[in-house]
Amino acid sequence: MSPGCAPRTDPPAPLPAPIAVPVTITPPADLLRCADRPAGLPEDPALVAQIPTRARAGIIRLARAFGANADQLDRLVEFVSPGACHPTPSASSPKD
Amino acid sequence: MILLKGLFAKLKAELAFVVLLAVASAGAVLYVRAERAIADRDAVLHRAELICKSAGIDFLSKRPRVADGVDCGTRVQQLAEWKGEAERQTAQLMAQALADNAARQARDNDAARRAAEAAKSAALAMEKADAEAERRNLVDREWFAAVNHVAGLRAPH
Repeated sequence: MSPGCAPRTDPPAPLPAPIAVPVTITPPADLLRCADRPAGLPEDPALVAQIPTRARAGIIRLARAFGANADQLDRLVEFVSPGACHPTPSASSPKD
Repeated sequence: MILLKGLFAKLKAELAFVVLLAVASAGAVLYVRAERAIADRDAVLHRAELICKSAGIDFLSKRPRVADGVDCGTRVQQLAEWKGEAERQTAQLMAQALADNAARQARDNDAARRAAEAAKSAALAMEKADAEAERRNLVDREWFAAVNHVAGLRAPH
């Protein structure tokens, strides 16, 4: 050791206590919005219409895809932040 | 007998030399053992210095009235405790994360099952309503309601 070094007179300082920190993935808040479920088609007994078969099939496809996507999004949001959405809005929808 | 007597007589005459020889050989043995002990001590000291250096503390004590290796031993003990504590906390976090993940999976399995059941019943109703619409060539309230149900929507007020 060089003579310039002042001799240590204290015992070695205690080590800082280890702190284990969990790493969590936090998506941006706008990715965690629950599925948007606007009002659907009017269910009015007076409302009857003629819709060609192919157009009806298209409407049904859209509705089915909308429902599946919304359910999946809600499940994903629920998985990341539990309790954020109602898990099955089709069964217990908050808005009507 | 006579031969032994002759030998003893000779030894008696050379007693001083015999004693010198015995002392010299004992000294040689002690010398060799001391050399080996010194070499062993140096090796152990060197190893201790290396070990302490890797712990970040000099083996030789720089403090008055503190023996060599005491601070180094303290630091090694601290490091061992640090490691144990870090491992304990890590294990705790890991267990927590695993349990959390399992809970999420279970919850999602429930949600997925409910969604699938709802979608299935909605699809059945839709099929029925659409067959009716096809038959009458007219869509009515029932058909619209089935579409809403499939989409998971409510009718506007």
